[in-house]
Amino acid sequence: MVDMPDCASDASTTETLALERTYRAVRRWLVTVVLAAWCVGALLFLRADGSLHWRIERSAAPPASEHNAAFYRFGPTLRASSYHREVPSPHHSIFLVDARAEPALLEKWTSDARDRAPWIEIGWREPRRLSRVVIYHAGWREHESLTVRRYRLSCLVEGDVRAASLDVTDNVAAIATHPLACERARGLRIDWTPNDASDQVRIYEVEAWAQ
Amino acid sequence: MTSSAVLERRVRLALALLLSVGLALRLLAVAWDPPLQPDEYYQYLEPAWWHLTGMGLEPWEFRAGVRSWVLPFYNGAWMALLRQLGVTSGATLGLLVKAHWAAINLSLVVLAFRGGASISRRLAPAGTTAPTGAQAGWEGGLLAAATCALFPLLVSYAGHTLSELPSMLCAVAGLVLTSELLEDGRADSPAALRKAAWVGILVSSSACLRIVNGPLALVAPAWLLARGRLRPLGVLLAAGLVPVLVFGLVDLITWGSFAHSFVGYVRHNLIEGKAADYGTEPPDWYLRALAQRAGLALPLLLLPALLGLRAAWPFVISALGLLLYMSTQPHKEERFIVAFWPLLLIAAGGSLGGLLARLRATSMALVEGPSRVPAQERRWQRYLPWCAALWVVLISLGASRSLRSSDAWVGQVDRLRALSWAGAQRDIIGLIGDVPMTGGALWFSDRVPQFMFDPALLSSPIITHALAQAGSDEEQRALAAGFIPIHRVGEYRVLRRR
Repeated sequence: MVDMPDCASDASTTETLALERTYRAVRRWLVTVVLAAWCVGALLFLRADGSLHWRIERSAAPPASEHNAAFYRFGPTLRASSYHREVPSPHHSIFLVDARAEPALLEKWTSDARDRAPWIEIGWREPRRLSRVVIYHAGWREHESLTVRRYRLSCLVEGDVRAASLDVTDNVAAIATHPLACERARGLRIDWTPNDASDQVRIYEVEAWAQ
Repeated sequence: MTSSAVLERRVRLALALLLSVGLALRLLAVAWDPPLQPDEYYQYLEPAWWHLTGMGLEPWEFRAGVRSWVLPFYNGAWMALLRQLGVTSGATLGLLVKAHWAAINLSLVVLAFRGGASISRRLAPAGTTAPTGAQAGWEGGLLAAATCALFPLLVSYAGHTLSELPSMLCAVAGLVLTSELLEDGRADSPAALRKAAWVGILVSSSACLRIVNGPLALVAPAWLLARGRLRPLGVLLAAGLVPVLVFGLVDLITWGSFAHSFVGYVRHNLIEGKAADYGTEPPDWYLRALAQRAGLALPLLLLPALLGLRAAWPFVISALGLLLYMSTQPHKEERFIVAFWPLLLIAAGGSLGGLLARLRATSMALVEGPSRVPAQERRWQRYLPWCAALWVVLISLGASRSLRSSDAWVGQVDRLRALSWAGAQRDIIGLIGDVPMTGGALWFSDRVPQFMFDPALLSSPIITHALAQAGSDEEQRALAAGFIPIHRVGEYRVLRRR
């Protein structure tokens, strides 16, 4: 059968062409919107730093007397630059505040192997008068060489401002007690320097004694 | 309206219908076929999740640097955007990313239409189909599109966040565009060269996304070389460098050296053969797996594909080549050869369409020729579309004996749901589970850690919840340590410290 051109077919062709143009325009618009949305997401993704931020539910009220403000039951906020995420034994930062007297080897925070400037922050809900910080290094339960020698303690006040700092440069104590007097402290930050370039930081517990 | 315009409209409607049905099936599959393969979250979602939230489990591949960050980055961008828009649940984000991949997988239907139509046009005798326009080669196009839209394995795999799927789409797209390019008599026209550039980008991306699919990327340039199309071949090769550079530079930024993950992957899996640590299978395993998966559908696909080999050979060679060289690898999984199916479906659909067009043309010649055949003797023509539809139905049914993308991890479905439920509990601080092989942190939480079941941890005050199979040793130990059951999903129980 041979197609015969007529007025109806002209109209149909015009209609088809118009539809085609609309389809192409809608497709171009959709592709642009999707690409733009993805680019926004990509920028947000690149801005993320992989650090952990967790406000733990409070399950007990802190006493009026001196206490460990970092204790998990008082509902601290936990931040860490990284942690060792290996399956099946991740060394999560929650172990820093669990106050375990006899922890297993798993129950410590370990920084990620690629984290060259590890840090942790423990915030508490109300301002406290901070007096000392106690750190239970890996040397407490494991080989003494795992005790971190260099780190900086910083007291955080309102707005995460560092009010007082203490540089520790030659620590050898597996359980290290550092006096750090700080009024109206809202948290504690510790910036660690791994013992050597390829080493990770391993810490069993951090206590922030305050009133 | 002219008959060709009517035909074009009908073909477009049929394709739209197939796309709608294909999308509906794929979205159903996303809901019904949860992430079953550990790799689909540990390799492509979990890294994005931990980069965004700081929380996640790290598989050894991301410690050793044998995986590219390109796919986690791509998925992570969507996750970051959705989190910004208020979707913070990992399980919901995981489902949305799966649905997005299922929607992308729908492009396979369009590609199949174009590939099938191209094969059909090559097989049809001159003058039986219009040389240009959407309806040219429509018989093969629609048959290939229908099988790709409905084929159960492709539907169930569509939403899985595995590198095999985007790599498959790129490989198929590259081959389809090459087929179209070679139909164009003006090989050096700007349009043909632009198409060649796209082929280069696509086939190279296919290899970069999944390194073991690399040999598939060689078929398109070999095809151009065999046809003496040297200028498009040069453009293809030059454009193919773009994805290589992108992937290589991403490795340089993330792993510290150019193409680090590529080198690591090849060394680990192909040279040192360490993939065999995850199990080995005999060389004929894939053949048996294909026969088991497709049953009657396999001969129904192979026969037309072989009959149309003259036009469909690059697709058939790609499918069989993939099967053959993957059979040489000791570690085998069905997902590794998922690209076999669309290649074969396009070859078979396109070839069958070409044969149907040839039959129709012969009958038309008989009608219009000097020896006219009476109408009642041409009645069989009316049954041709029904035979084609029956072929599609038989293939879809024949391959529907097993609808899930994997049988190996089906038992983990309940665990995944239980894990997601536990992660949403307000009072949870830490979870101890039987084996953290399902869902990762993405399906669990953006802050709460989960640990392998270790009796020493049962006494830890920060372990507030436990996840165990009902009646298992782990459940008994948790109960003895003072945990009480609070939720049950199938075989799995969530327990909370009293």
